[in-house]
Amino acid sequence: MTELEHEHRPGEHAVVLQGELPPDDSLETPDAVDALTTAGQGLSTKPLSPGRLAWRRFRRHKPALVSAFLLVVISVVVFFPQLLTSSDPIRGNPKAANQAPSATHWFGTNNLGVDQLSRILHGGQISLKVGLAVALVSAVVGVAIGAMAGYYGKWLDNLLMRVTDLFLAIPLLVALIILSRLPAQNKWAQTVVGETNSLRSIVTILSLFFWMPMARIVRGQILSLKEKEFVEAARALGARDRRILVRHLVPNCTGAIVVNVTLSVAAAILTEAALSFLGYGIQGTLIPTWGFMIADEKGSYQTHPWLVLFPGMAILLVVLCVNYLGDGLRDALDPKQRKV
Amino acid sequence: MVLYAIRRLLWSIPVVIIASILVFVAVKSTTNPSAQRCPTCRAEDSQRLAQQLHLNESGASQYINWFGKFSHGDFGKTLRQKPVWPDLRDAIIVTLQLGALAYVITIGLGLTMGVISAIKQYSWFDSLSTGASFFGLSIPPFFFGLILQIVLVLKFRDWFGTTPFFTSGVNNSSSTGLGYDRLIHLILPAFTVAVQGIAIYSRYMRSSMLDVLNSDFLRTARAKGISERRVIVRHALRNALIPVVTYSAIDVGAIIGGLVITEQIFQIPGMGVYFLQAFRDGEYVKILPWMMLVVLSVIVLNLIADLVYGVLDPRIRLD
Repeated sequence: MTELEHEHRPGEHAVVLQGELPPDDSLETPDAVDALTTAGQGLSTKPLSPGRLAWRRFRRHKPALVSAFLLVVISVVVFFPQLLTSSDPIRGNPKAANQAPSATHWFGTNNLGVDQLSRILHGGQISLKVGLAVALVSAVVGVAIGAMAGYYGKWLDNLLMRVTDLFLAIPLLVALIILSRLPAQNKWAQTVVGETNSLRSIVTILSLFFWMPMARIVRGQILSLKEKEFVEAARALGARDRRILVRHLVPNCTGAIVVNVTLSVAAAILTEAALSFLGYGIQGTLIPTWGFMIADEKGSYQTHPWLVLFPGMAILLVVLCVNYLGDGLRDALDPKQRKV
Repeated sequence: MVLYAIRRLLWSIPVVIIASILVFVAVKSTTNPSAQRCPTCRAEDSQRLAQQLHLNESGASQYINWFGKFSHGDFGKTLRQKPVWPDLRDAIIVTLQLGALAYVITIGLGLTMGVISAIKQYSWFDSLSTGASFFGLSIPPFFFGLILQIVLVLKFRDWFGTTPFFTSGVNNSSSTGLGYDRLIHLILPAFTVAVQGIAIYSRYMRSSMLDVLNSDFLRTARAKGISERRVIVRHALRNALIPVVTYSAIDVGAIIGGLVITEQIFQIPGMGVYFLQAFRDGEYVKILPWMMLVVLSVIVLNLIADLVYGVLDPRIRLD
């Protein structure tokens, strides 16, 4: 995954920073003073739960806060488009074709007179679903592989990590293009992943290539966690490997997992859009995805630029928000991890 | 180090063979040459085709047949009986030019932005480049390319020209030259390929540089009285580059993906367009050597990254 590290947090790295403190926004903030007093004297204030501490760190990341709010708004209007527009996203009014953005059609209309705003909102449902589904499926796979490699070590670790390296070396887009045609040629592939260019098949093949960063991160964390005393205590109490993994080790990686899931939502949305743009993404739905809309209208950008601009802006806005959210979550949940 | 390189190269032989099997299976099971758009095909034509491609033999013998020829440099003929290599070669040259230019832009801009951001942490430049890199990471490359086309080509058409990739009259017969005309046509696409890389490298370089700037040996270097410039260039930069170099090897796949999309937007007759075209036509004879070249370049670039890693950090023993 990409590396989106944020500034040193005042209070946590105050000693390391030395002369390079940010000009004014640091130690005087009430949070930092709280943190310092909690750490320093530990008498005057009640200890804060990890959740509250995380929330405080998250709150300080203003872009992430704004992004979280925007994402909520976007999800609401995408999944309940009636709130913003009552236009039909499929059938349009041919007399009102190719209109520029106006008060009645905020984002203009396409060559069939379909309201572009309505199309974008309805089409967004697919993009958001793909992003979430791919992130969740690949998270499950990645956590399982990373946890096994980190916990059992030895040859299993070696094998799983070599497989991970192999997958990382495969050119993503080329592999996706080729695999997206698999169900069209193979009956068995069709029964496993579903129809060609369907939501299910695209989510499946995308997930095949999104689990590697998660596996690496979880493995790294488990490698150090498994030497901790609480694991020894659990083992002394008679807990089996499975229980130690599922109840003790994996929950301790929650921060890293959440951050990674968020960032892969962004990557998945971008990749699906690129696939759609090339004609190998999700097709056959009544309303096209954002990437497909751009591909469809790219010939007319000189005369009707709004048909290309608005779907593109939609992708950009969602992915930007998700990336900022991931960055804020990293500061909040996983402050130690600064590189992915 | 030479020994290490040789050993790595020997190791890559089984890797290439395994990869070739995977590539062969993947390409064969997703393309269907007999479902060609070939309205005039007669029975004997399909028979000849089947014979030429050994379609009636088992999968294994088809693979052995292909790999034997491929490893001797015989790339075969397309379904329309054209030899594969000349077209592929032209595409490779164009893509190498584009890729090299994009790489120079990525590394040049990305690393410079990262280093300046780190040295002037929390300055206006730092916040600007942080914002810009989030933007660069989040914008779909194809959308960015389209915007460049809309804004720059339509508004400033005198600069970049609206002519097709091969300007008529200027080196349109061969695609090997890298003249002024070619360079002008490559700037926007190269920048499109580079955007995501610039964003990633500048963030990566910044954090890596910050780590180094806060380290003890840098304070020692300053205390010795070495000029600030020398401290940054000789001591900090060199160490900060190490993690960045490791990253660059993983990045090859992303660059190839970016090239495919960008060539499609700007209609550049490179490897990306070659692949898309061949895949759409089900010409697996053309795709197989293409894929193998990609595999080989991934392996070689990974090796180069490892060697550079060793040069930058003498503590790492490559053996």
